[in-house]
Amino acid sequence: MAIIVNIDIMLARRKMSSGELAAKVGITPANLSILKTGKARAIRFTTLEALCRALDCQPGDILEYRAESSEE
Amino acid sequence: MKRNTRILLIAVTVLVCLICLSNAAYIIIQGGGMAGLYGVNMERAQWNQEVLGLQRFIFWGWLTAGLVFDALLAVFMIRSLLGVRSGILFPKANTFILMAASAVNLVYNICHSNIGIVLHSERLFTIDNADLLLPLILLAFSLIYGIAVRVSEENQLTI
Repeated sequence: MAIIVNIDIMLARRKMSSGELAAKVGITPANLSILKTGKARAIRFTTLEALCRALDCQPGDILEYRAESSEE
Repeated sequence: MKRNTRILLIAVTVLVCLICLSNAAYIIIQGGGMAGLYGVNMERAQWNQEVLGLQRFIFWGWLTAGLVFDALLAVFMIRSLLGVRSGILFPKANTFILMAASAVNLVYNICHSNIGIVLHSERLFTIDNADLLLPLILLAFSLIYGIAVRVSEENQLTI
């Protein structure tokens, strides 16, 4: 998918664990893993808002668009 | 899911399973009687050499399609109920079960309508609108069910 989720980078910068973030955001660690691994099909605004609040960042810091080459 | 809906679903599942079981028992008993396995009072098949192939097709089609259809419906209801319990409202395999049920039901309806060919050596082969209607509705329902499965999967991957 052309949308990259950079939660791992944000977690490393904040020195926060996945479990801690999941608890703060109010989602299960399994769902956070789906999000981190790029398997998620969509993200709710409420989840994005909670992620931004927990990580003290902007949506653009979490989500990134990278154009896929036609060869892929 | 609301508690009342769940109770209603359990009740419908039990009812469908009971009807399927009784219908399967009826088909086995009636089929055995037609084949002359037991009971002098049972209506027996009148095998006619001129239409023996058609008679065999109708007899075995009616017997097997009837039993398979009952089994598929019971499995569909039980899987739906288990799916609700495990949080998967639309199990993917149910789509194939419904598609198979529509095909099997078509065979069963046609054979059931023409069972007179086996019992009374009738020569008239008929296909009613009603024979085609239920399989077509089942097929349409299975296609809609397939869409529901995809939407459900998408919904589960929305965080």
